[in-house]
Amino acid sequence: MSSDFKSLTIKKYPRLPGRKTPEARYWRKFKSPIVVKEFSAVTSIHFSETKPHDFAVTASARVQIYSSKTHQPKKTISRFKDIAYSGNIRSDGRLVVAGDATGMIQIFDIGSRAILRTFREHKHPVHVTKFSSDKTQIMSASDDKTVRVWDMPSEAAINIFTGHSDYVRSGMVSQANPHLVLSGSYDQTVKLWDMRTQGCVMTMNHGAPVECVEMFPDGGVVLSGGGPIVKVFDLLAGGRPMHTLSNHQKTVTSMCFDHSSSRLLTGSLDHHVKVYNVQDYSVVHSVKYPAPVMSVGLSPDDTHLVAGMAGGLLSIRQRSVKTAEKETRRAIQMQERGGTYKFFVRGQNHVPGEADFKVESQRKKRLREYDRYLKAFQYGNALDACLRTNQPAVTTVSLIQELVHRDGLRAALSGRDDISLEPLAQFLVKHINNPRYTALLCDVTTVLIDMYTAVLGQSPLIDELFMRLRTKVKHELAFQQQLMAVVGSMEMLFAKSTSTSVGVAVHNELASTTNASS
Amino acid sequence: MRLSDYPVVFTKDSNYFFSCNSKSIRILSVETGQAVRVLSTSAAEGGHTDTVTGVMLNPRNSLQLYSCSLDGTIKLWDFNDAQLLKTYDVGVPITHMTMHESIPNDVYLVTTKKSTKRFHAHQLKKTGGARAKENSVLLRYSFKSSSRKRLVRLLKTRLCSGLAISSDGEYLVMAGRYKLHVINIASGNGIDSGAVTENDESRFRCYLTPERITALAFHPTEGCIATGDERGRITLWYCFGKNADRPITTVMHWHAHKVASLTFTSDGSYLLSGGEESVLVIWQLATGFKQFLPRLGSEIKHITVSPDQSLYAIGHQDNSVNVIRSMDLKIKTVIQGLKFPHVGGHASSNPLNIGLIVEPRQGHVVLNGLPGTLQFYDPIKEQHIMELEISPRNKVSRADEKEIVPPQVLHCAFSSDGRWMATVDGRDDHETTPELYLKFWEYNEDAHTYVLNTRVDNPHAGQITSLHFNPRSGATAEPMVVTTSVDGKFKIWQLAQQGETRRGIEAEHAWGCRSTGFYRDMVPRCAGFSSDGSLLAVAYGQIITLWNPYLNALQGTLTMPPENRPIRHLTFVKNSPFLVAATKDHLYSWNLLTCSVWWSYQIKTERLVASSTDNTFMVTCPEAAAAAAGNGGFEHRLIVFRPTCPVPVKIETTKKKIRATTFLPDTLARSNNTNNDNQRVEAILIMNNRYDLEVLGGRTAEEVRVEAAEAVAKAAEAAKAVQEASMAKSMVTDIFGSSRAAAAAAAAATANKDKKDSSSTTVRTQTSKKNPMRNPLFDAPSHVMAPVSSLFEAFMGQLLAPASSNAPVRSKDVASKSSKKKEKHADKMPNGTAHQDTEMETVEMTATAQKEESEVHMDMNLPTSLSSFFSKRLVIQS
Repeated sequence: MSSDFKSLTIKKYPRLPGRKTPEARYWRKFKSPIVVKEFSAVTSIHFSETKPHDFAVTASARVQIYSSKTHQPKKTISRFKDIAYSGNIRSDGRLVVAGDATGMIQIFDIGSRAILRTFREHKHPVHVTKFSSDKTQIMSASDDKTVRVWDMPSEAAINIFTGHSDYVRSGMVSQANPHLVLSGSYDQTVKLWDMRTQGCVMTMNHGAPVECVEMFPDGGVVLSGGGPIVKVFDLLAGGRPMHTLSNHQKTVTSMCFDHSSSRLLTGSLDHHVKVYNVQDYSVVHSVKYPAPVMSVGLSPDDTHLVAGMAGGLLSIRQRSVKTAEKETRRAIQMQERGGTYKFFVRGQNHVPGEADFKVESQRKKRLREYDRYLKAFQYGNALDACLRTNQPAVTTVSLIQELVHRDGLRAALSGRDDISLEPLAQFLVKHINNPRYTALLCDVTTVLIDMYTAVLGQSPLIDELFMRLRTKVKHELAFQQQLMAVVGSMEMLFAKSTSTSVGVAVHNELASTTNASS
Repeated sequence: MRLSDYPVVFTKDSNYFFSCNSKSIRILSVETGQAVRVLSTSAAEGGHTDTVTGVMLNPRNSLQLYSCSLDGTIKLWDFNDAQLLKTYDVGVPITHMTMHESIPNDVYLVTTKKSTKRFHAHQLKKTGGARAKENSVLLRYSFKSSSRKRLVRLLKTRLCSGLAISSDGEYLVMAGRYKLHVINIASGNGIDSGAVTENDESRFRCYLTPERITALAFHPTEGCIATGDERGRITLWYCFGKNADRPITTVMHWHAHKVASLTFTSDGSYLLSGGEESVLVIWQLATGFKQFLPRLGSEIKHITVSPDQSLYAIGHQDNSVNVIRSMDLKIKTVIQGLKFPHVGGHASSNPLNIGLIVEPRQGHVVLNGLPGTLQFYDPIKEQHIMELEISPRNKVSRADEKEIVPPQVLHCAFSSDGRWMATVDGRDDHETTPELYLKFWEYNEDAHTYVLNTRVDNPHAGQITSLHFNPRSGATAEPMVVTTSVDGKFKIWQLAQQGETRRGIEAEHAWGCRSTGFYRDMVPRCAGFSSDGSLLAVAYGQIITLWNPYLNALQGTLTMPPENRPIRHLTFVKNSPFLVAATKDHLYSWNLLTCSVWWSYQIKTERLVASSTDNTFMVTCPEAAAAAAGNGGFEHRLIVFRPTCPVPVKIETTKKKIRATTFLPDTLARSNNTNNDNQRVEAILIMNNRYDLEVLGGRTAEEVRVEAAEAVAKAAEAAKAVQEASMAKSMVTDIFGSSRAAAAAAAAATANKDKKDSSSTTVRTQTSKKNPMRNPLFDAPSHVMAPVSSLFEAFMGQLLAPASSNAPVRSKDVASKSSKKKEKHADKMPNGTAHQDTEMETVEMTATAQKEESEVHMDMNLPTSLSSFFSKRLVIQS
């Protein structure tokens, strides 16, 4: 049959098990970390809830507003007399509040950086300042063991909660109910305060100085971090501890949720940020950082993962949102305006009905460059094209296999000078110890050595590559020998345990999977 | 069915063409590709007795056809009525034939000198030099039985490769090796038309060529001859008129290999050529412009142009004919016969590795096709069903003399429900690392073909010696495959989930190695699963090891001590506890219940095949002892046994070497005659040394058709009978009580029966006593019934006939023991399992106590699981 040219069948190998879960694949998309050096440890990161989701980074005596687009500081607020803490942006993205080590709390306009309000009633450093979900109030917690709620218009304290017996280093206002205030203290307790009853309504014991607290947006469950553990408390069951997560080696310093509150991120002094699935609080992913993590933040649109470290480093990772972009673009495209090209070619995705007469047109399949050369029997060019165009290794290997099948390997390798031989030699050096390709690439190497031994020593480039190939093969052989030794000793153990000459070892082997028609 | 051994010939209207098909001639339709009529069907009705080598329309009457054959006759047919009109007995085997309308009474023939040998293209290729001694002789034969000598010898040459006559009938051209003979046969110089004899020197001309001529064609309008040679060059000879002494030649060279066929279109403006490259080249003679039709699938052997020039028929090496429209060079029809495994290489380079396998889904036979492919073939209807590329590739012709080593399919097996297929293919060119792939294919209902699911690279360190599916079927049974290899290991492969289900996409299924086993330091040669899948036998040398494939536990070993020969074939017999093993010259039937050899036979076994539907197996053995007494030739025997007794059920002998054989289960036949199942032996399919499929026993396509028609008629009758019966209500009891035929009829028309049942409840209660399946005990709703324990006795009493009439024959003490056990079980257990267990016990008892007697009811009382039985046995022994 005058069939079409069959383009090169690319071999498929199974994904190695346990390498990547879909979860890990998602978190790995937070790529290309940008590291910014701040003056000292980054103690707080807070994202604005309005677009473009700029974030406030507090380090040393400054609060910086970083742009999420350029990853550069947009605004720097440095009107602090001492170390600033807990820069927090209001949900409309227009005000910033921050406390400092002198006990002063200041509210700034994010645009003009003007000080709008100042609260001076705390006498000790204020580590926590947060806007309430009711936009006119802020809450603060200080080393003077008090938690206060302030009214911004009147510049006066509404509530003063006293009850903690040590520094209060964490706190927040419930999103579900602006009357509830949560605070965690170094006295190892987490307390829930109600602004209506003017007092503590619940006390939960964490078991270690509490560094951070977090509450689910629906207000039912509270998380507290401190020491190397994270505890989960059920508020509806009267503060009953539900889980204890001890996945970190050192003190957990910071916590945050993703936008749907389905994942929890914790940063710790052990250099790690861990991601938990809140269904069962299992760790689904973890990111390692070069220094102890002091604060961690995830943007509300889940595109930026920012971590501040003890050494003053700020790491910003970004995930590009392709599908979302596509969706928006498609939405725009859906509205076709008259007169445009799109308008005239609309209806191309129209599906013909039963009774419609269909005019079929055959679409010609474009061949890849190496396929075009293969079709024309130009084996050398096909190999060059494959190596030149940065194809994945498996494509090149499949092509070489095809050349072997066509009895064209020698033709493809012959007649090369050092420039045209280099890419192939590079490829061999890189992949000869990949167990999937070794057998084939050894054959290629044999043919190559066979053909080019006579001219070795003329080009330093090729000579060096051949030497590298030699060392690589040598190392691999030594490695194999070690493996054999291990296998031998293991077999001895098996033989001992079964005591007969018959043994059955159960093991899983990797089976190559191919689904599509090949 | 051989379609493309010889060139096809179109009818005058270009709607049909003739194809020589060994002894017969098929008339095939261009539109449908189906055979319309077959000429020369049998020698008894005046057909040819040997291979037909050529056909030609009668130049004077286009409704008649001449055919020549190796049996030395030319026959004239009326092909519309498939009637033989005349037979001319020439007396010498004819290889080529040509005639012209201007000389209607003469036909020019080419014969070979050695008349007993056959003349086949592939044989020629194979033997090469030895065959070259054979001479071709050009003869003229006169149809008129006048006084003149009928058979006139004109010319002797070596190895004729073509014979053609010019369009005006003046010149005859014949090519033989390096010579091109041109003979003037026109009238003139006092010689009548067609009266040239060997002695008219002036009328013979001979031109020498540097290369051997392989193809020949005469230009239809000009004095020009085209020859193709072994180097792929096409030479046009202008050697008539004033150029007669010094011919002008034009050389056209595109083909890299031998030109296999040359044809001019009938207006003479194009020349078509083809060869090993499987590219059809269309030369425009005036301009030299070439047009190509590449990748035609297989090497081109013949090209024929239809009289109206609208179609080209291309005969291929792989036994197929492609009809191509000349307008757009698209394929119109493909007529595919059984592809011979050796095509595209020598027989040795692509042997019939997998033999013949019956695919369980449709009952088609699966065998090797082109290298790297499997073909599905219907042997009864002689239809090529499909080709499956196991290792897909573009066919590339060799660059130089060295053949390109193609991949080969080495093993193939099907799961019992036909959902899965496993294949082993590999390629070893003795230069690069040998490739070996184990592939698992899943049947795709939409595409009606097998689709690759899993590919395992290098499943074993060495060659794979056998591949088998676990025949256990059912919803719970995970498909399982065992492979054995020369690396000493056997591996069990199982289907497993790959990845997890997410976003509504089902998880992928892929095959993986579940366990690896070995026994001492020996090499397994063959393996097999018992028919319930609970036992795996692997033959290591002369030892058969029995394993539990689910637990990976060695259950036992079987050895036949006196003989120290490795076991070559091994198979379980369906539905019986027997295992058949064959060494080079012995055949053993093992009884697994006693772990002893039930019987053995000294017989040289070539192959061993067990039936997939009943408990028979067959062995083939070459040159049995009787052959020496006969006419000295080899004789091949095919013997069918049952495992229980060494007396063969059936013996067939054949002269031709058997290449492969299999049982051909016939689903239709089984449903028709189930009563005489014990006597009947399934049809056997054989592939002989000429790659022809033969069916022994069984039915032909016509019979199947007739039987189907009969069945339809019978069903109609039955339906009628039921309707009549339902008319007369008083006869209903009779129908249900006695008449078996009527009962079957009732089954055929269940709808009617249901209606009847609902009409009268009284009738039903009467009949229910006779029918154990409808038990009145359970007619009441479940919540008002008595507890099962109190119902059990009554139920069992109804179900089982009285003990005296139905109990198997056995000695008294065993019977009493087992019945005691039965009671005990019945007390403890719910009914179903108790029943099963007691059956198990009885079998065990009988097996141990009385060997000789058990032969009869061994077949009836099979243990449900051989391995569970085995584990018990082993305990008892130890």
